Amino acid sequence: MASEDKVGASASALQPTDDENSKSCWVCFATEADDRLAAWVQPCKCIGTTKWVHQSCLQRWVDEKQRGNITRKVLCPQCKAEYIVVFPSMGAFVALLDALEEITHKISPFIAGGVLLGSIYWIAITYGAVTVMQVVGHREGLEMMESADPLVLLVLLPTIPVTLISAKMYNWEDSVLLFLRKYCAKIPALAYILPFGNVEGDRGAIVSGQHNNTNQTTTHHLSPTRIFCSALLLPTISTIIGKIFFRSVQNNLHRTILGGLTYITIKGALKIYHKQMLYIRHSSRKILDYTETNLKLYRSNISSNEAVSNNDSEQVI
Amino acid sequence: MANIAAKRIKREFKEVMNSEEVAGGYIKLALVNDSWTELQGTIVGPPDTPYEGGTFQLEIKVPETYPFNPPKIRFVTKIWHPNVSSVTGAICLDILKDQWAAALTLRTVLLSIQALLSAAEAGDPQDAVVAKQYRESQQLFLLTARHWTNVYAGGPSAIWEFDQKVQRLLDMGIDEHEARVALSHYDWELERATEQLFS
Repeated sequence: MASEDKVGASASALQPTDDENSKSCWVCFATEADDRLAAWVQPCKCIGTTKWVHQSCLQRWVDEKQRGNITRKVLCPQCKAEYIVVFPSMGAFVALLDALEEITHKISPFIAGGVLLGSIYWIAITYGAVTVMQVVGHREGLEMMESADPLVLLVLLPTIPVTLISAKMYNWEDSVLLFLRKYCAKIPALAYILPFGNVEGDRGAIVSGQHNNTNQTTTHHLSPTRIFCSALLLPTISTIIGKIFFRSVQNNLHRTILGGLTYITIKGALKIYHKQMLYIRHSSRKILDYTETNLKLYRSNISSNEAVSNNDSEQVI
Repeated sequence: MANIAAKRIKREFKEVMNSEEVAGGYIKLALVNDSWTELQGTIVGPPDTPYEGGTFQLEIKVPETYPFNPPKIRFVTKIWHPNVSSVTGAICLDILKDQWAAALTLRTVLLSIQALLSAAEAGDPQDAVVAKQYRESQQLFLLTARHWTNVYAGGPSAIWEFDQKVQRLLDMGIDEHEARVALSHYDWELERATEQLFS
């Protein structure tokens, strides 16, 4: 950008015909002769043609520079002197209202944040209490909580959902799967339970390398809502499974723990199986030669897929 | 408030017309319509620059909020300069943006743009390609700028070699300006320009 100095120099040489004594406004360029009633001000260190300005023109310029923020400082564009803006005093009452306004403005975010945190805390406590009653039984749970120290409850109850969620963040199925892949592939008996698929040398290494990476990314990609839901639903599901399959167990807590363990084990096994199948599918994929027959086969596959989603797939073939 | 704008432009117009720059033929200002919202500026290329001898037209649009906001100015005449877009003619000049001051006038702004032609600011470019050439191959930049001045602004010195290259592309059926832009962008290497045009 061209430096402003050149401009400043030419700006001060503005209107060479005007003599030094006659005022002319650097905003509207009107002179004293144009409007005898207008109020003039000399707001900065500038001399020459930018010495004088109409009070109303400068007000508008200041408004334009502040863009709605009335506390912003405005400098003279030429001499960089700060304009001395004063507001008339409106009395003590207005000053008090001003102060109140400012305090309210400042503390509102903190109050809102506090209310939000408090609400989350109380939700966590409620969830904890409901979980306790669900797990050990309604009456027993109430008795237990009534006999406990309220302070202890206030600390312990909210940790229940927190613990559930943080436990859920640890993806134990992946560790088990990796372990199985590493050590148990050699034991033939296990191959009946968990197929390992014969992936040829190089490609297998590449795919498993890739797969480790994707594994890591999928754990990162695991959606927060999914973790949240499955963690918080765990006690409920455990209770239900306990009631269905372990009716003979009398103690509520034991029954729920049994139910929970059953649920986690079955779900984990299914998940590991599914992941392993995906892994095998991925590692044994093939890219076909570009021949007429392969192409036809591929196109008819695609079009039959499209036919499922939208009905006008006839013209594709 | 448009009242202030119109009144001020009228005063400024008078000022420009009486100025020694207009008398000397360095700058010119003309009305486009009667509403004083659009004007046409003309500056001549400063001496000892590749723009010397060229006449550059500028489009000046005066906003309703003038002089509280700067006028919108762009080059109508095509020009090869780091701070001017070779496509739109948009000018990168601080006083046309955040450094605008109400005490500036059309006359001082036109003189500033003229000054920009003799002192480019490659650190804050409008056209990245031109700025890169300006920094890295100064000689080629000067020749290209002189060539554009010759073709679009009526400058006196034609660059025979460049004209030949443009003609070569013209023979291939490419638009003249398009060909010149491509060649200028690729440092007048005919092969690369052709490649880009046909890709």
